[in-house]
Amino acid sequence: MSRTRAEFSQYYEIAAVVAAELNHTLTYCKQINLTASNAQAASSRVGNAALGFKALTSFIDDLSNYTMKAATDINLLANKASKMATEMARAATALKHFEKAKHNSHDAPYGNTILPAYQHISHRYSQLQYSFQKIINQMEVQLHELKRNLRTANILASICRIEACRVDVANQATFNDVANRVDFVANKIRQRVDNAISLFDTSATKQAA
Amino acid sequence: MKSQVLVETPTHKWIYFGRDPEKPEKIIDTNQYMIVTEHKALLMDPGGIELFAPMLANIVKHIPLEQLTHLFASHQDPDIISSLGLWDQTLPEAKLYSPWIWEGFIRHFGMNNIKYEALPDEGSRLILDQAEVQFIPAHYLHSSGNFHVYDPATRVLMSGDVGAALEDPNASIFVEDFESHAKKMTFFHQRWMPSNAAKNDWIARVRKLDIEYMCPQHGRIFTGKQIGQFLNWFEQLEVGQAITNASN
Repeated sequence: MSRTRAEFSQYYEIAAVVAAELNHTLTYCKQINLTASNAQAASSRVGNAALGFKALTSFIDDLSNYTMKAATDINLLANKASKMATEMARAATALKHFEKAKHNSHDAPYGNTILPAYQHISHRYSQLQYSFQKIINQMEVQLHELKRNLRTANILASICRIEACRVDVANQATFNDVANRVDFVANKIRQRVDNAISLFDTSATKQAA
Repeated sequence: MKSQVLVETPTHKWIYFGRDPEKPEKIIDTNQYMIVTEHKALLMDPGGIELFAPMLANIVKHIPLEQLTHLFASHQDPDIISSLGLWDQTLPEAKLYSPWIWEGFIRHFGMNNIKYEALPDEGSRLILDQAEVQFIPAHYLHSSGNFHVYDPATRVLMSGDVGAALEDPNASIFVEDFESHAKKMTFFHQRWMPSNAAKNDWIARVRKLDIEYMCPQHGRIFTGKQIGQFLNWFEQLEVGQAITNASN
């Protein structure tokens, strides 16, 4: 699927916005990590009745670490896309000026000597387009995958609530708080990921229109 | 864009480019010069981005593109060299001669392929086939790192912003009447040139050169006795006017 120069400049902005959105998720992941550590400490204090809960905290930790890694990976792609977009903008500008020069020099004695440079830039632009598209697609896929994995957070929060019922009333509130915290932060992350995904969806809709 | 041969010897020639009728209205009009030798060419102050396409189209009226091997930027201003990012993709093997102090700044225009040849403050020389040109120091006129190009064989001095005038785009490329032209240069020199000491130092240096054509980057070309007239006029002109203006 080929995309026009204008659409690529739109992706230049998308890459920057995705990077910003995912930066926020990293902060949220740290909050989940902290929640998991607190929960682990609390379950140690409660003892045997909280063994099931203790096991859950390591899953929460894993999920947080996975999210952090995924966000970092996508961020790297976004930064790469941003830099590549700058190179593409330069190549596109060069092409535009070359086309003008080529048109204005068609009757010049050495007009044809522009062609090798023109062809070189044209080829480079095509290569950049291909690589850029590949990174953008990769970002889109990884964002969807991250969103799918974030569903686990809700399941973990639900199990946390079930486990909370097994401990005495005094500790139930602590464990329910952990469940609520995981739910809340996971929703925040999902919102950021959804924002990032919607940028791609919007451009796809525009493209279809 | 106009282009014409200014002077020709058996070994090389100087070509003028400028007065582009398609130039966007709000950008300053610039003159570009190119020395063409048997196998090489040196393009001086290639101009801004907007000038790249007309320059390219005009250069190939005179030489094949692969013959353009050297670039010179008298200083770092955008009207001098902001087209560098485009030349860099066009002439990856070329060399750019420019003041050493501007290297880190000029690279911001985009320079991944062209080689930067840093000119030392005292200036240097460049041999192009049978021709030899000199990079003459013109620091603080107006840029703090600034050079002009002198060719002793043709007696041409490319004088950058010295001798510049803000002109009508359709004006002749040569100064016709010095007195009336001086009026068009006064404000430019008083406001753009910062230092009387630098001005006098440059005048003393240039008086020692044998010059037949003095070619500024804006305005018109001076010939013959107009060069002496210009040096006398410039000598008595107080520059660095903005300081006086700001104090009043």
